[in-house]
Amino acid sequence: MVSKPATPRKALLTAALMFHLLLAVIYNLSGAGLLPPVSEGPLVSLYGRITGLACTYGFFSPQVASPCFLEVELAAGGDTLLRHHLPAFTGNDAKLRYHSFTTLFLDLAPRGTRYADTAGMALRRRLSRAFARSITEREAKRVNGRPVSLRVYVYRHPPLTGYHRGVTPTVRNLYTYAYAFPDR
Amino acid sequence: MRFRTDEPAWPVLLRTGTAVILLASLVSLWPDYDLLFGADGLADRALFRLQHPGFFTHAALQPDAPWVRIAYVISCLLLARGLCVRAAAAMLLGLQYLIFTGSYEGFSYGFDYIASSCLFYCLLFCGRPAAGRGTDIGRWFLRVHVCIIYFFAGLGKLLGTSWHNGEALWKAVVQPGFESIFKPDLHALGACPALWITGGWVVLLLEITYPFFIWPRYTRRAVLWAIIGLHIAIALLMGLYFFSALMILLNLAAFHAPDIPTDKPSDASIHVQPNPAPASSSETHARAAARLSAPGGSIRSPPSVSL
Repeated sequence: MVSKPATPRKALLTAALMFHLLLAVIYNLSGAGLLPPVSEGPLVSLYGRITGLACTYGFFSPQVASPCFLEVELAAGGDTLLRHHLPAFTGNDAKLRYHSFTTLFLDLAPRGTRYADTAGMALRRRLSRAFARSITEREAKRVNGRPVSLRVYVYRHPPLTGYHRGVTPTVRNLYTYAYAFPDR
Repeated sequence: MRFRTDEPAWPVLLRTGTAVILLASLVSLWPDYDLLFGADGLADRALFRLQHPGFFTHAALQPDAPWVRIAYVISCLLLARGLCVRAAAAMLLGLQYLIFTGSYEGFSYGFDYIASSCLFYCLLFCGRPAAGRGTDIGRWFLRVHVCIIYFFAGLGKLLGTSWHNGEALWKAVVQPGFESIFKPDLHALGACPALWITGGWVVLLLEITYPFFIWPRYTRRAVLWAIIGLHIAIALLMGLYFFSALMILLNLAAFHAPDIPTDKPSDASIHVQPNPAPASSSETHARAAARLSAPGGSIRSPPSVSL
């Protein structure tokens, strides 16, 4: 059997796909900590996100993140305070996206309890606080400018080893921000 | 599912399934879309840009622009129907970036990235202009990509300790955050740590050994069933419906769907083996035999492979 020579187009496609998969491997080796972090240029970053490679595939690993909850407390007149958890999504997909988003608040956990301190941690902590403040201010707008305070909690489920010994879930306040519209 | 074109079955399955799943996910997201991606949404858009600057900054190229969702729906319908496949796949890739993986990276999760990867393969290998040309290479790369996904998913679990002692599986399934319409209360099983330890190791080993056992034909069927079972469990216990559906689709498209064209529009099905008896199918078999004996034929599934 005589094999046909590869056409230039086919060879080009094969080379491009090899590069594509190689990039996937590099992203994942980096994500697993087996290579230094990928220093993305704008083109690689764009390509990685458009083609879906920028996501490392270590789903729920090396450990499962604890969920964060945002609790809003707003003054309802007099001494009354109303509390609710943010936000009230209708669909499951939005809840999953929100859950994914709130993991950024885990960066607000005190040093020593965070999973990893990376080089960009200081910036990420500032960004997490900025998100919390932005959410609070938008919530204040929605409730017609009443004072609002937001608390970010992380929920700790009892570990498997402790659950049958009666260890109960705990919540820990990671951040609090109070906002009141300036006097008009 | 029936295939009415002369494309091999796997690209048809991939593009149709991807389009249907993406459309269903957008419909599910629709009532909450503005709260997540609107200008007056949950948080300031500028902060999301600090997370990832995104490529599109013009006001008309924001996720809440009126045309975005309409274009997304139309592109999904075109892709599912097999019309303007490459244009639809390219448009969806751009919209995925615009809505999810680009400017609002914080609201994205694994599903969005895997969906973009599926669309990338749709763009390159699906559609009538590509039918019968280069699809064998495409399938091989798709298979390798699926293996990379599972291998690194397993490797990540191997590198930590929480999947070894059952803690990760326990937390993933039991702690709040992942809700589903079918989620039995599994707290009582906390009294049986061996179950969770075994479960954690089963998930880890299934994922990390996937690339080694999915290629040989005599283990492929068992591995496919096992991995599909895993994704069904993820969907039921964690509510990751669309993610699970997409991973099952990827597995079926990469390793299950036959890669010979199905010429009989009314009877062809990915679950039906080509019927050897009728004289009308002899041409199909001659073509299939020629393809299987062609160079590179070894990377294809035999026409009779089925779950």
